Amino acid sequence: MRSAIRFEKKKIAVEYLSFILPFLVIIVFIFVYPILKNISLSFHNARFMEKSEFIGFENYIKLFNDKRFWNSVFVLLKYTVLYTVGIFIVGFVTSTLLNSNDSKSKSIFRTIFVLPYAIPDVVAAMVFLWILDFQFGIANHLLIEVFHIIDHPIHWLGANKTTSLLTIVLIEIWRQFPLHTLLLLASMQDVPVELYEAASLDGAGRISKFFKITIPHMSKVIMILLTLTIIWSLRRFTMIWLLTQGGPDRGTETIAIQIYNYVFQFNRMSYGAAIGVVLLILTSVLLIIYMRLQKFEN
Amino acid sequence: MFKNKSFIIGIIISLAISVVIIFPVYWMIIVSLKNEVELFSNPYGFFPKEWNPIGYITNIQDNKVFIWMKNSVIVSGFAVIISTTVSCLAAYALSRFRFKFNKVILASSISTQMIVPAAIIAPIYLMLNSINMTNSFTGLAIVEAAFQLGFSMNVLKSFFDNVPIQLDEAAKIEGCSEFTIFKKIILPLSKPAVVSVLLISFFDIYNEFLYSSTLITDINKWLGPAGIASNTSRVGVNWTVTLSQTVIFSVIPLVLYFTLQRNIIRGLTTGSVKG
Repeated sequence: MRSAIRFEKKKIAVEYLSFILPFLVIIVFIFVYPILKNISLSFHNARFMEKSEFIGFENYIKLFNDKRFWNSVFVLLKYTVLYTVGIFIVGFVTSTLLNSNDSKSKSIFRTIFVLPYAIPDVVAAMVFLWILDFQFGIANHLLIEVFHIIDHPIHWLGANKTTSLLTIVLIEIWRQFPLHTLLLLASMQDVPVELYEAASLDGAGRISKFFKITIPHMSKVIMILLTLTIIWSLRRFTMIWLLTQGGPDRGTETIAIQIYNYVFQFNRMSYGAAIGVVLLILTSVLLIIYMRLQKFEN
Repeated sequence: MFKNKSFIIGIIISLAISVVIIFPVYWMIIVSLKNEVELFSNPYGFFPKEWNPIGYITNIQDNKVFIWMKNSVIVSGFAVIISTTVSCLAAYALSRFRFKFNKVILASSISTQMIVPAAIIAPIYLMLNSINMTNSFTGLAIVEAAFQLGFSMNVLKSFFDNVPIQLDEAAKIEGCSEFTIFKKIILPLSKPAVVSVLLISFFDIYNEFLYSSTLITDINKWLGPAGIASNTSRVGVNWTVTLSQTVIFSVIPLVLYFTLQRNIIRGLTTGSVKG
């Protein structure tokens, strides 16, 4: 009898394994092995197609004295703060607009608001490069001739560090905000209607209802989405690369762009790997915060 | 007729935001229909003075953009099949078996969603290079699929969890194996979730630039993003040609978006925050 149970248990374990095995194989080959290899690379002086030697912590020592590295940390920090604040503002405005719209136009506006999600990064980058062209771009034309906001055309990308970073962040928000709209909207719709009705009876206005009922009810979702947004902002590469390649004068060179530059442009693979390890550690810290928050919710 | 003031203000702000969203797309189409001369003589015209499909004709004769797009579809299609199949199986295991190891799978699925792709690109490139898999669509598709696994599995697991377990138990009494239950009961009932996952992964991979442009260096095998981006690497970008390429490249995601919007929105809302 006991051996029959043991046999049954073994059978279940084999079945379980056969369901998760493909998943495990891919995770091991595409994530676990590369992460370990990356750590090992960072202790070598590897370049493509050349033999490498073990050099201990040399890359890390160089890294922490490298102005260029600290510049990219600072750029990423500015980028993350601007991106996160901006995308939450746009996300809140659009989701509130949809949530308070009870007419038929709601579904049309939702379709429009989520549209940028369907535009590939490379497409958005090309279109904005032309719209923001210094000489022939419509952006400068509209701001000077039509709205009279500025007197002289602006070099949106590639001349001034701050302007370039701001421009990139705005384009990133244009491309990425639909997810925030949808997630905040879903969470807003979970707030019980009775609470609003009760508040109305007490004479609360729209704005006080928003801050006293809606926001507190959404606080957990907001915290989780905030952590996710910060993590996602570390991952962003494509738009920055296509718009400025990290320029002007490294003003938009985030850590991800810098790794790419070291690995593929300057052929300093191990140095790039060391930066990668630092970025992995940073992500892990955020990940732990995220997992804590998730458990909190459950 | 007019409900109240705040309703109208809401509509006006919504319209203003809509303009900001739609304008770049509109501008892309308009510029793609101006000829090279008009592009500079009439750069701000909201309509071309003369509707000129020269950009499209050049692209059709050149054929490059269609090859890039075909390559993108092959890689995305292949990758999406891998990632959805693999994540369906894993999601079933997590939803129906009780093993401590589930926690490891769950943690790795969350971590892989968060990992910065650029941070591990050097070792992945070296690994594929050592087995002659750079410039291979299969190699790229497996890497792209791997980055989708975590998200897909989360969406699917939350759907599978909602399928009543009594159905499984009834099937087990009938003598069905776990795989039959998965194939005959869980999958058909979760069709909408599977469609959502397929679509969202497709969008992501079709859009992906970093890996698709570094793992494929052979100019003849470029995918859409690498090909279109190459327009800016020479002096004097031909914007008419470039922007007609971007219009052509956007057709697939736009058609999918407008026809299957519900599935996409459902997937995005269930997958991201619940984890």
